[in-house]
Amino acid sequence: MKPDFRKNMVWLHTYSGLVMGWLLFTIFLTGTLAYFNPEITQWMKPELQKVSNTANMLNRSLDELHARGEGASGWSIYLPNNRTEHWYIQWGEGRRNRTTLSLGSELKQVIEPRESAGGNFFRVFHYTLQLRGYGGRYYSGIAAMFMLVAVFSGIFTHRRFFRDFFTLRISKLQKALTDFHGLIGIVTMPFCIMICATGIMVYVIMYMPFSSEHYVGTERQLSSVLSPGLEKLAPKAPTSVPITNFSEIERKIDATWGEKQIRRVTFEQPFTEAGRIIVDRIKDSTLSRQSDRLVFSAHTGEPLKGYLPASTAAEVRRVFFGLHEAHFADTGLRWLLFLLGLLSSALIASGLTIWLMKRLDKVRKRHVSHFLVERLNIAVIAGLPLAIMAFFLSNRLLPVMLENRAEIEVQVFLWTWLLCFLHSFLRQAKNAWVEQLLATALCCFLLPMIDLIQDSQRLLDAFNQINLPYLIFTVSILIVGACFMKTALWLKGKPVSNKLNKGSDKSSC
Amino acid sequence: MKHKLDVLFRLIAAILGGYLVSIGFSIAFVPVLVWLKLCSQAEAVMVATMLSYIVYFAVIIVSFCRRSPWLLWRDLLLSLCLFSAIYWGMEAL
Repeated sequence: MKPDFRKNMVWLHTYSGLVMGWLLFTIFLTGTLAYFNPEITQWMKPELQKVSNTANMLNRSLDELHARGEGASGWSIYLPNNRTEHWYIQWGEGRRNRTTLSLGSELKQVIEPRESAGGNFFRVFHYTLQLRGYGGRYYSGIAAMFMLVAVFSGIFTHRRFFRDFFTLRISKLQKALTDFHGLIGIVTMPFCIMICATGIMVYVIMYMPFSSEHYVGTERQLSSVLSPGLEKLAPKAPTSVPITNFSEIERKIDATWGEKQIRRVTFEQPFTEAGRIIVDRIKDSTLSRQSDRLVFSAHTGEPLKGYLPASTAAEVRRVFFGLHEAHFADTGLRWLLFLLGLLSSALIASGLTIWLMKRLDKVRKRHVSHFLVERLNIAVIAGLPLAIMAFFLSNRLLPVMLENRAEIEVQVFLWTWLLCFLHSFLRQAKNAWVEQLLATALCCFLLPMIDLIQDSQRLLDAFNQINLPYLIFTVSILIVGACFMKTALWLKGKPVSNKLNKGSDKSSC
Repeated sequence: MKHKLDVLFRLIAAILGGYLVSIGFSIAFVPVLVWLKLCSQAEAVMVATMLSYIVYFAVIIVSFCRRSPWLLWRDLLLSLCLFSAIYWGMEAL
């Protein structure tokens, strides 16, 4: 039975990886970028300057809200933190119908950042695949389950851990790739298991709703039983005026949490007697997705009864969710997670490439599936980075005042990717690889140049203010471009043979 | 051909059978947890649903290493029977 078991696991590893490989690569690469969601947004909205004058920010926001949001049923204030300089206020009715205003360092200064999908695009795309109404979240859940199966069966496929770990045969491409696959497989295994399991836990009830529906009700009803919210406030005619000075509350908060711990302040029904203020803590010091909250009365500023503690099961799920989002990670840990994400993408990409190379080596006549896998490998492994670069380029090149600008950016991403598919089918495999890799490298080099030509003041400001997200983004793009360039040129120099099919470590940088 | 059929049966067992068995588990395990006074019903729902993914995973792996698909389907049916027995048994208690 034992040799059989291994054989079965090898089969399972091969085909679970192959079937979902392209989807997994897409999810892993965009999800990895989402680790730097606010930093990427910061780069994509260069109008957001460093908030140099951080004194009295809450009272200044409150003044603006009093001046503009008279009679609204909800106000919120989002403060900048060490990851984003975006300081903005919102007011309006309900959740959808809201006006947003971004504030700047100077007194009464209002800034208008360009409309952009920002880094949030990667966060949303990596689990909805831009198919939210069409089951996108189910596909990513299925992909996560496949990844878990592929990782588990991979343990038995590459079972000689130590031998595999210390072997790297670089003379022959296929051997090198196999060893590389085994090596990073071992390195990223805990990360992959963590990220896939916690990813499933995000929609734990949505994917498996039957128990909940049988005993309690919908997902929402279940979560309101497990983690009860505050009682609902009925909208009423304005009767009272919310506080104008936040200092007193801020002092109380600082006494409980310590200084600079406020992430968001929300006013619910600020113009009624029962109106309340909910203060959310920053997520740096908690593994859970839900940070601490304090509640105050909106017109006296007195502390109110806060949220009831969530039940253990709900808290466990929140911690899983928090682990997936990694808001707790400081810069070093975040880069480590980012690198692990890149390595996992490279793991998937190398696996896909190995599948094809192994088979092309043996067969004399190609099957149509070989052709299909070859083209999809090109379009996904080389095409996705190109589409991402097109997304960044469109952010700089589209007119700033364009309507629906954020949506058009996303469209540029999708159309470029479609073009990559077409291109990979029309060209010879090797040419397609080289051209797409070169195009990506070119975009990487063009991006900082265009940025510099458009407005050289930006770079100077970034140096002066030590705007690290901006500078590091620029440098990373150049490094990635160099990697793609090198891979493309190296591949170009290789003699043509039917097994030539490359795309691996570097193309996922 | 025989190999293809074999793989097909295993695939259906893994994906569909696994899902059914884990649904069975997520429903049958709730009254057990409540009966053992480990947690409230709503919490038990959450715990059972979370654990049911482990059951799913286990079924997928077992599907591809059982000797024949018939044995595999027998096991799946048996476990479904077991879960319904637990569920109805707990209901009767």
